[in-house]
Amino acid sequence: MSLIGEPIEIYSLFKKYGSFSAVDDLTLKIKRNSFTGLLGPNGAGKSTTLKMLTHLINASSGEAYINGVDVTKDPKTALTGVGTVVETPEFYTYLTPEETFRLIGQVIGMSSESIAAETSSILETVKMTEWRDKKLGTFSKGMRQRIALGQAFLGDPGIIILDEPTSGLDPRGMAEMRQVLKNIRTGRDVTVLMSSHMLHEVSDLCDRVAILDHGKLVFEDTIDAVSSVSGARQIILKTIRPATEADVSKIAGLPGVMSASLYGGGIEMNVSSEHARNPDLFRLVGESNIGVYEMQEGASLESTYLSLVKGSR
Amino acid sequence: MNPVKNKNKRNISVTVDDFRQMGVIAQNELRKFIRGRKILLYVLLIGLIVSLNIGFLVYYPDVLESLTGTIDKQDMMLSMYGGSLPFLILIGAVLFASYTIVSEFEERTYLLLFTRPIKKTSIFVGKFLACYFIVMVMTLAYYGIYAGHSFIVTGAVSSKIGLSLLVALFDVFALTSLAMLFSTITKKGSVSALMTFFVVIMVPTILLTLLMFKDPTYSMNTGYQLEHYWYLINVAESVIYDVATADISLSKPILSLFLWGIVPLVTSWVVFIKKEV
Repeated sequence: MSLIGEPIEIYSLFKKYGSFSAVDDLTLKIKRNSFTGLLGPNGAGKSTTLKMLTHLINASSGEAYINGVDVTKDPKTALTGVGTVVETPEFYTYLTPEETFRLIGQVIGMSSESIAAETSSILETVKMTEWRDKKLGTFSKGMRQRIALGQAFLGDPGIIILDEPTSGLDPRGMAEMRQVLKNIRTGRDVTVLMSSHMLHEVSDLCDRVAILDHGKLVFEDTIDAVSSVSGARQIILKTIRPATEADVSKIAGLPGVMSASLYGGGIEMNVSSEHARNPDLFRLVGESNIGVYEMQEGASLESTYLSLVKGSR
Repeated sequence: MNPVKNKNKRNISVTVDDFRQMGVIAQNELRKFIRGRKILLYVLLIGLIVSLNIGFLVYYPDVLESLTGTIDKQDMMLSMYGGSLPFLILIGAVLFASYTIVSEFEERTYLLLFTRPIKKTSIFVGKFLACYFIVMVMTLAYYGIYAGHSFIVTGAVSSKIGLSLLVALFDVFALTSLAMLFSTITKKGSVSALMTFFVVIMVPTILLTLLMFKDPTYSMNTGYQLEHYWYLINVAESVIYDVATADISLSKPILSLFLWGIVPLVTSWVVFIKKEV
């Protein structure tokens, strides 16, 4: 175990492919028991970083400590006590979820009794109990992803690394997965590092965010601190009927609204800080006749994100 | 502040825990073989070869009666059975070892297994042991069938069965290792299988033909070929059946098969542990 505090610490990490640096002098610490979202545009180095942390690829130089052990030097020890879901893993189709958990449990050194005991509760958590003895070859992508998340819980890991866990899922699959992720820290002392390119997902699930661009860290702080960077706030408008693009246009045209988009049947609007508590704005929203029954305010991750990665395509 | 650095350098020692993990991987691989259709195909193929051998002796019993000189009937039967073994071992290596590594990447299961606290060496060794084991068991079963058949027909089993089996087990090692090598360096299982066939069947045959033209004293005699071309895998493999009917020293063919096994196996291991995805 490390003598220092943070479960994941990365120092001057590089991954080079010829003259191109996929990860460029990355230094990052992931706070204990946090749920940190790793954001960035395509090619920013999110997956490369997570692949180095999970030893799927080797770093060109630098150090990446998991619980005080450098994964670039001793991956086996470093990855002990780490649960992972990298991309969308496939399973051995001839195995059932129960057998898959047994295989992974045996690999990580769990006893048969522990595996059996944990399997039932994990399958319950990921809502796959009734499928425990069915061959994985017949499962949908959403079901496989829930099993993937479940196997990451085996052995009660102190760290869980997730690489775009909802990627490729249909809306229902995404919603189910997010529900499981929301409860991921319930009753557990666990640090979660999750890459994603979906801003609302990170807003919804994470309490901290790290933004990468061109392989470099450009922002790292709490979600609440995001507004101080962008000077903007995010307001979610919940509507009594599904909002339409016409409704979005109405909202986007109001004074102080920087951008607006459809969000979960309602509308997400990004408002400049000085207008965020302006009564006139809320009066105008009410008068826009789109059926708003509730407003939720939060930091505007989108504005911060766009301002930090505006040079990227 | 930097954390306290772990003093372990890239750890290449093997611990008891590593052996346990190798066992888990081997067990899972064997489960894959047994639950898949390939094992059925392999058993059917062996059954077909055995049926042909039995059928041949049922319809042409005079073959054994007409033997003269020092060749015993049971030795002739061992030679007959052994004649199909290099092919059966090759099929086994292709069916199992040619796919064992590449399938992890083709089917993306590596994302599940390789991100776990397990050395790549443990994964590699576990997979190799499973492939070797399944082909070895089939080979032993084949010798068992020969022994039963020989006992029923001639009332005896060839005294050379142990020598033939020894060479066959080295051949299993060589062909499994070669198939593992192609499974490690290729991106598709089908390409790996084709490469294994090509290197084991085509390359030595072409080489032997070229050498034949260059060698004015060339002879098809087993002793001559082993003396001069022992390093060719097909020449070394021929000892599996020729040892039953000729007095052959096993040192060169066994050395040849060992080298055909160990060089690809070590190369494959090095490529595998350095492989990035």
